[in-house]
Amino acid sequence: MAKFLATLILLISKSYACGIYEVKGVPRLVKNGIHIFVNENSLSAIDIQVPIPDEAKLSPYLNQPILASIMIKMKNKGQLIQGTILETDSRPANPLDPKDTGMKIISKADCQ
Amino acid sequence: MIQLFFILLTFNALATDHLIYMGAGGEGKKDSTIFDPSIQNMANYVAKSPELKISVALNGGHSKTEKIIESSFLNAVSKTSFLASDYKRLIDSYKSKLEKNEITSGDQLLIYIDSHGAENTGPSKSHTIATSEGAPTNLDSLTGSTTVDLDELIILKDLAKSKGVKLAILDMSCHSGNTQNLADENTCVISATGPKHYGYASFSTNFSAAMKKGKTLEDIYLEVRAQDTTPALPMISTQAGEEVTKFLYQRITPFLYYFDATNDKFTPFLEKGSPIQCQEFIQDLESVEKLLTSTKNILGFKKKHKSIDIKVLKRLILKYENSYNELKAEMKMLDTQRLKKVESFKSSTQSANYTWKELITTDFKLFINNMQLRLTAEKVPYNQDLIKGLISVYEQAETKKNILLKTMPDLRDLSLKEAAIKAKMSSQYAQAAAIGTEERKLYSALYKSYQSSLTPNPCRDFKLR
Repeated sequence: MAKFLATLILLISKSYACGIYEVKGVPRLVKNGIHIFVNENSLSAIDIQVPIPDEAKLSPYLNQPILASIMIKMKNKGQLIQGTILETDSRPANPLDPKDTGMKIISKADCQ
Repeated sequence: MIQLFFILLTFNALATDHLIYMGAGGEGKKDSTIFDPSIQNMANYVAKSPELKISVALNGGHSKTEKIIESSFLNAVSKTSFLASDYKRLIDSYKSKLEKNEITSGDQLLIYIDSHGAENTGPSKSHTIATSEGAPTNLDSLTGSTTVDLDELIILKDLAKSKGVKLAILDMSCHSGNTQNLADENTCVISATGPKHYGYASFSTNFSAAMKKGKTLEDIYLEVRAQDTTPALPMISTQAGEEVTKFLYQRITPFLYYFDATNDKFTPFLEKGSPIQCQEFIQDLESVEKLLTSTKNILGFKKKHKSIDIKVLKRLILKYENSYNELKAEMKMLDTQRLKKVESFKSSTQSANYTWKELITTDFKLFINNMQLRLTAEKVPYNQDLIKGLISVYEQAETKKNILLKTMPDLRDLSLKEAAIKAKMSSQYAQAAAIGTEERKLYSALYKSYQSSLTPNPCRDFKLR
């Protein structure tokens, strides 16, 4: 049963193509650094891990909604993905639309 | 002579009207859009014009909006969403129709654009508007939304002119005053607002409701503009429109700005400390009032007739000036510009730039503690160096933060004070809208004084049939 579930989870996990993404999420401090969380507390939640040097860019935005441009260089599958930050800015929270979070691909690129 | 009359009559009866209706882009996830009332009005207009040839490209993904679109525009040649590809396809299709003379001399082509519009930051001659893809988080730049450039309509404008097809571009978006640059003696351009102003859905709603057979675009514009009560600045490309804009635009612009927590044109204006030319404006208004006052002789008594009374506008402008100067003085005392200063920090492996605002609002100690815990657990020497470098950067930032707060203790609650001033500004919308309403009366009177039947006027010549 466990094997079946694991296979099922792998099958339904969305894979992310390499390229530049526009990400609406919230940076949070976890044990191993600052991560950007997208679609928090939902089945489609995404946890974006950034390289150590990029953490400095995110520190002023801790726990605030941001709009970031992120480059994904490796094909990621599942909820934890890795990407480097190209640009980031604070984003006014939309009180009328709490689900105003997500990520969309802007341009595709070759994987490393 | 009679023959010529019948030829002209037949020619007019054979002429066809074409409509490209596009937009409703840039709206977030919800079941309706702010464009729905005007979509419904346009649907009513189209239903009463069965001979009109129409192509529709409007946003999808909003159930109530889709329902209106689905049950309307039944005679449309095409009915699609409004993606960048749809925009391109429509331009190519109408370019081909014009080239193949499927739209020909005597015909009229109306391009009605109703979407979110960006400020012009160059190099576009006009500006960009939002498509169905994405929703903007900033209504000035439309960041977050996929956009298309209205300059791409130039090809249709040039072809229409060379083929003798009357063209009108109605741009109902924010910052649509930029589209006035596409106007020429054959192309009428009507914009819902100025190049540096937000637009409001009410203009398009009222405009589309006023579209009736027999009316000219100039008539509709003047009728709808006179009713408008928003801080927008609708514009038209007629000579009279250009003359009024020349007089009014720069002078009135700052008085239509107001504070808004998310889309704010007022604060940058205030932060720059830009002066508002209040006294000069009032003097100019008084001269205009005098010019537009005629004296009539009734039964031997001389009676003055004013085409425009600027009393209310004058009072509102003075009131605005008072509150503006008060806020400007408070902002100056706070010196919020300090918050934008940037400090750089560097270690052997890391570097970071922080504004003063970021420095005083960031809890660097929290990050230092987190990094120190990670350093003890980290086994890879390369990563250890990176972590050490980042700790050093955070420590430098923390030191700078402490120096700033010690030497300028008022920085500590600067953001709160700034928010308090902004809260004071919250009543500004009503003030700006009241000025807008008075501006409408002044504009109408001025426009009338500049109107002439002798100059070419593509907006007067474009009559809905």
